[in-house]
Amino acid sequence: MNATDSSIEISLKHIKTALIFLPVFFVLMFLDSKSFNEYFFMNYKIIALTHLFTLGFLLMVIMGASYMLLPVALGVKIAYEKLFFPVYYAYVISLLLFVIGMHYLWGPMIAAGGILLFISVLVYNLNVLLSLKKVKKWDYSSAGIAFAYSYLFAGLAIGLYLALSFYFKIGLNLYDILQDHIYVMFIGFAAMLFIAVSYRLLPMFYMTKTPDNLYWKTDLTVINAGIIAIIASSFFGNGSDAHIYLNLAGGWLLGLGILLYCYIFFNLMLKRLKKKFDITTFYLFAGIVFLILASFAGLFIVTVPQEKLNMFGGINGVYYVFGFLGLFGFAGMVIIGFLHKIFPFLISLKVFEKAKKGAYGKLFSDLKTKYFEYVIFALFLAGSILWIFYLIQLAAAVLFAASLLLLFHIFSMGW
Amino acid sequence: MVETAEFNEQDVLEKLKGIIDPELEVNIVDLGLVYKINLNGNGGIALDMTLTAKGCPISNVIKYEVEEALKSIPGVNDVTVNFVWEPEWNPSMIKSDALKRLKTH
Repeated sequence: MNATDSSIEISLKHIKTALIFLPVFFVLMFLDSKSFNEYFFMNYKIIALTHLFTLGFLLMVIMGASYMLLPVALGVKIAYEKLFFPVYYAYVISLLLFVIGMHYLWGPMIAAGGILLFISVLVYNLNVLLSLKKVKKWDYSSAGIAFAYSYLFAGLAIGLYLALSFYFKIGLNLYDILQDHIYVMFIGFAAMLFIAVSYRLLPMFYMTKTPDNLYWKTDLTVINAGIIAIIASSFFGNGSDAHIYLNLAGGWLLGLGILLYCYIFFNLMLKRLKKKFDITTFYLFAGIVFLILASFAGLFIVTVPQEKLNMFGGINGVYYVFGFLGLFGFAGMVIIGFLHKIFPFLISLKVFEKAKKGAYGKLFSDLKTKYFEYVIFALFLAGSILWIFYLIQLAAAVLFAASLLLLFHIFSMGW
Repeated sequence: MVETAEFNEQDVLEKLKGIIDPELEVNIVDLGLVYKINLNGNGGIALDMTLTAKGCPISNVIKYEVEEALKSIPGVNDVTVNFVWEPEWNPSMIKSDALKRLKTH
């Protein structure tokens, strides 16, 4: 399945936009770093900031890359190419409305942005799910991708409910629902998608073997069971036995499922045929190490009673470190790593569409790891480590510098 | 080995060795991607080859490079490149020297 003109163009558009949102996110984190010491998750400025990263960077890159990678991973064409551009513009506008509305806690703007975001991502989601109908051979990648996009739908629905609750003042336990939203979007969608796509990309880029059937099936089952248990817990009263035990079981299943994936990842990568390290390998290994740390932090949170968490720098600190490790340490690093592979291919294809000659040579030159790329990686790594020690302002400054350098570096390959 | 007046299968293979897989940094012949070369004796080459992944996004780029490389052989006037997926490519098709290089570099 070849990449089409519109899939190349739209992938590039998403990735470039995401790379602009990344330094914006870190500069706002720098300016607003005190909020992390003063407030908990439900603080509106932190919600705005989190969505700027998760939707402005993570989901934006995932959407863009999926238009090119899903046909590669699944051997099917995206169902409705004509929807690419309207969805992109609706998504960017609604994201800005939502984030600005949330930052200033203006209910109507949050609700309007939330509804538009829901619609635009839903259209994207349905487009991908409809494309999956044409998959002939179901395996680790296609099954994982199907689950991931089903969770995206569930996570979106919960997110819309939360956004509307800011305007309509709907009661219910928003904290539990927020927890469902985080787990479904982060583990159900983002982590599951990464796991599924990595089983296809690692053999392609590094000539690893494919994962053992027993391992990936067990992993998929354990992670799904964990997400279901976490969601089920919110249907029971906070503090009830059912709530506590389901939450505990869900947290442990997710932790173990993620750790099993990390084992599969190391097993595949350490036995890869292509031994040479490139810049993406460094990002991948760092991302997986952060994922392991996030899993332990998550297990710690669900196991240790909340009052005792105060002994470890307060509840806020543990949660934020867990969130940052998972969102940027893992997902952000892995995505930045894969961008070093995906972007040169997209630029090369764009050159090929225009002039044919020169595309092949440019691809070689862009894929070659440069010294400069290691400097950017070191800055991202240093920033992430500073964040773990809760030196948020300093971490944000370092990460801002790294993201700005990454922006210039990637854009220097071609506009 | 099939021979025509001006070029033979070995010339074709030598030219194809100049085309390197950008990810694996091994040429397409040593990778085992070239399955069959048909020379029609009138300057025409029909090549059956595969790719390391079925959905390879740069298949068009590779095809173009192969066509250009083969057209540069004196006496070649027509090149047809067919991507085939049977047998499915796997790492055991890599030539042992190339495999050694991959493992040690």
